[in-house]
Amino acid sequence: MFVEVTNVSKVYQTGEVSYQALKGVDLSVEQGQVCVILGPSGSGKSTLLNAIGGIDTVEDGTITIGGKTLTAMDDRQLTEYRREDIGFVFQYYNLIPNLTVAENVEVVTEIAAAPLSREEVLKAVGLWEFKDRFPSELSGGQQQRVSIARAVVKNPKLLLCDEPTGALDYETSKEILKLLQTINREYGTTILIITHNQAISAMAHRVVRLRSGEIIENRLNDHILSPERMEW
Amino acid sequence: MILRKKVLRSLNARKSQYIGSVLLILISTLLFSAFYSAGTNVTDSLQQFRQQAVEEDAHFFLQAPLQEEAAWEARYDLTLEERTYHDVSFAKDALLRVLRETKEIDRYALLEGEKLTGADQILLDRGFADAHDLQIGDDLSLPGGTFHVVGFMTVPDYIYPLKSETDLVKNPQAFGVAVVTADGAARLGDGSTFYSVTFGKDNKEAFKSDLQQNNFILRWIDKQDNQRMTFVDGDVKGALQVAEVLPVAILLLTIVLVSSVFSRLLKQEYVQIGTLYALGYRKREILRHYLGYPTLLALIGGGLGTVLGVLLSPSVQGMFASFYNLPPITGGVSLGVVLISLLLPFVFLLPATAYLILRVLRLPPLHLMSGQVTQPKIGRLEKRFRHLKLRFAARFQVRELLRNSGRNLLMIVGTAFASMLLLFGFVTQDSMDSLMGEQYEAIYRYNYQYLFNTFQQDPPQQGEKLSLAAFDATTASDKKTTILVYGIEPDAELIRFQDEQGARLDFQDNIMTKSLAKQLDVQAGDDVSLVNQLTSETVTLHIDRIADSYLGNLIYLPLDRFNELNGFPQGSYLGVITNDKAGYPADQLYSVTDSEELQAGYQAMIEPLRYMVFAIAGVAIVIALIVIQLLTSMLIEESQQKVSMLKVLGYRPKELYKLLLGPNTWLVLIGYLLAVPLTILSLQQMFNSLTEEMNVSFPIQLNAANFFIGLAIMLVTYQVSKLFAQRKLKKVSLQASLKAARD
Repeated sequence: MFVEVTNVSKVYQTGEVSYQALKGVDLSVEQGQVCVILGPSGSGKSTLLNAIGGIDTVEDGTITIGGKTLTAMDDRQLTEYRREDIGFVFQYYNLIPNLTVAENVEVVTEIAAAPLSREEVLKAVGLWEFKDRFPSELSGGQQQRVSIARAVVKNPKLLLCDEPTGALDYETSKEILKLLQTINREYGTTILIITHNQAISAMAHRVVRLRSGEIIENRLNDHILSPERMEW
Repeated sequence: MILRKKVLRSLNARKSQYIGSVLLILISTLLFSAFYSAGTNVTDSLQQFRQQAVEEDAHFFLQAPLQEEAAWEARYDLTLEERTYHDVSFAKDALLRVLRETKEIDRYALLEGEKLTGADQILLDRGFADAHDLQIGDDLSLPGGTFHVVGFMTVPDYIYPLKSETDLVKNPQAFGVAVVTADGAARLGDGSTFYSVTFGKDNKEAFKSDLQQNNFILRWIDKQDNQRMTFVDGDVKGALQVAEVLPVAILLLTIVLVSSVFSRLLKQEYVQIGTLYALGYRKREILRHYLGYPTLLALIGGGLGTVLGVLLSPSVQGMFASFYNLPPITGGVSLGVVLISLLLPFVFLLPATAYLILRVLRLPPLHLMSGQVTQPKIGRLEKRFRHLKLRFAARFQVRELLRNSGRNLLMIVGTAFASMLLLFGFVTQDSMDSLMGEQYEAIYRYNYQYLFNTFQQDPPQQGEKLSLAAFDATTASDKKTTILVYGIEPDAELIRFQDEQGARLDFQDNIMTKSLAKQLDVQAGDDVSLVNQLTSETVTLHIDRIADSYLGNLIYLPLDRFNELNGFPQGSYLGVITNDKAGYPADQLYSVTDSEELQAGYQAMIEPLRYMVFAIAGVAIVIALIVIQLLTSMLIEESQQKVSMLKVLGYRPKELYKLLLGPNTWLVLIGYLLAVPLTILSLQQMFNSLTEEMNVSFPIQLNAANFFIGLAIMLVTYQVSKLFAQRKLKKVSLQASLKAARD
């Protein structure tokens, strides 16, 4: 398995109040699969994604990605892991406002070991002609495309998408999901998507449902749909 | 790195804040490179000149000519040179002191023109020549005939051309020096004779004591007591202090301001930093990126400041050379100074900003991206003043003040710093005015002081008798200082002292000036030990009263007691003070002091000081503008959402200005009020250290008029910077609040 999450628990402590975000979660995803993690707010899906992305730690359990055990890594190793293996797509894009589209992508090509061509990726997301614009000169959907281009350009082993359509309208959301599916197919990138939107699970190879820090459903999807055919 | 572009664009987007920081760095490095170079070059040139010209260690006047000079030189391993001078009247009221050319000690240095070769040639000090419009090639008609001006010169014992060694101010309109050959001096007739000496080893006291037994020393002046020679050292020290203290102080202020701007920038970029983390950027890469900001500021400010400083340095040197009678000052700005000047901003800025960045980098990326860390916290003060019974506007302003205590403190510190700079000029001017103006006029009520070169016994033609002798004493800080002890008639009317309460002092008592009492830590009723400079004998004097005067290190005794103390003949005296000009023959006189001349000299000296006050005030206003403008622009940037929301709610621009910018007036006021005692204290310290070599001390004062002028300047400066702020407030869009809510 490419992604192996075994018996993972996470507790948040705020003053005297503690909150268990993950309770012994087990999850496996094969390389090249799209996995959609569903769940309401507070279910622990973002915590799980962040732990897999190496930007948060867990108290118990192990996480292994492509044979690398994250839970045994120190800060420096986690940085190297994020640098080489992981691509992030955020709900609010998190672009650097005073860099152009091309430069926002270059932020990653600068540090990645074997990045893809910036032009190729920007063309793939349909933004090559907007490469000299600043984020504020783009629509929300276009900004999310830049965010995806930035994540993909390092040719990551694993693409983590945190509510990638959460801030977008229906049509734009479909375009973004289509783009993610294309990337999965063309580059063979393993993709984990967390979302509130149950309809998105139709494009996934694996569907996982979380509630109160526990997995209540984990199934394979035999009838994968193209995002154009999805409705919500 | 692509992120470099982000640095440039961010700086450009907030240029109003960063330009201020760059300007402050520029001012500090400019001051450092210009003044430090000038100060060290003047010091080096001065030292070189003093060595080449063989500066005297002391000079003295004797009752009778010195016999067997060579024997004295051999016995005490010293060099002696007999010197003569002629004080000749020049033009209407001026006096030209014509010195005979020397061979071994205090040799002249030619500044322009040709060296002396004939008996009809004369070299002038440039200040006097300029004041009297004399050029090389002119002929001067002096008592011995016509002298041809062949050049300009300087001599080490008249670097600051004062008529008397104890004077404070030069006046080239009234006094100047010249040098002629020995034959030329003979043409002028009999002159006054004195001796200059340099010692091969430390045996001054033995020599003086031997000399006193064989002859009678009328006056002995060590070089450190000779204002003509030492005044320049105090001034150079002042320039070096300006070069060392002011740039560091401005840089410290810059650090505080840049740190403040920068920590706000970091706060606004928490999400970006978290994203860079998530993208795999290493801490050191993020650190390096953010250090690009202060690096660029330091590079631009330090680079421009250093270049301007290098360009300005020759002018500062020229100023010294022309104010003092100095030989051309050689040496430009050294590579070392340029390097320090370039590095100084980095040394100050980088550690402070690195600390801020590292503090942010300690936060986990998730926290940074969540934006939770940037949520404003409610402070203890705010909680305490939760229920304010005030009008809404007042409550709003109080909340603004309470919430932004850091920024408020910065505003107070910044305005206090600028106010201090502004007040430095005012306080210096007021203190000098008080010392030379009010105090001098209130105490010294005579117009002329005549000092004779021998003891007088007959009653004076007019005026009152006085006598004086120089003594040494040890100060509370264990340093040697020279004291002039005067003997005056107990019923003297032409000198009047008061105590602190304003009561007139009686000259039956032994009276000490307050400046001296402070230095020696003496109270009325104490005894002081003094060492006679001529005889090296130690005497003890009981001090009855302290006079409220800062005009020199002086003690006044009744004349009879003075003569007894010094072993002088009963009833003798060495000087006369009078209101009317007296006709004493020149060969009987050691010196003549004209109060009007002194006042004119003071006015001439105070003139450049006034320009300096304006210049300092200009720099202070610029700094105040930078600081206030930077902080108000920061305030508006942070309040964008609030401003936008208030605009949406229908607030008029004027109401907005009042709400947001109103409280700052109080902060400017507090800053100014804090600056007053700080200025007085720091100037007191500075003058104490500068005047160590000068045997004077200054009462530090700030007059009410200048206090209010300073306050008005600061408030007007604030109003001007408010105009910039108002423009910025107008630009805040109505959508800002809605966008912010979505982000």
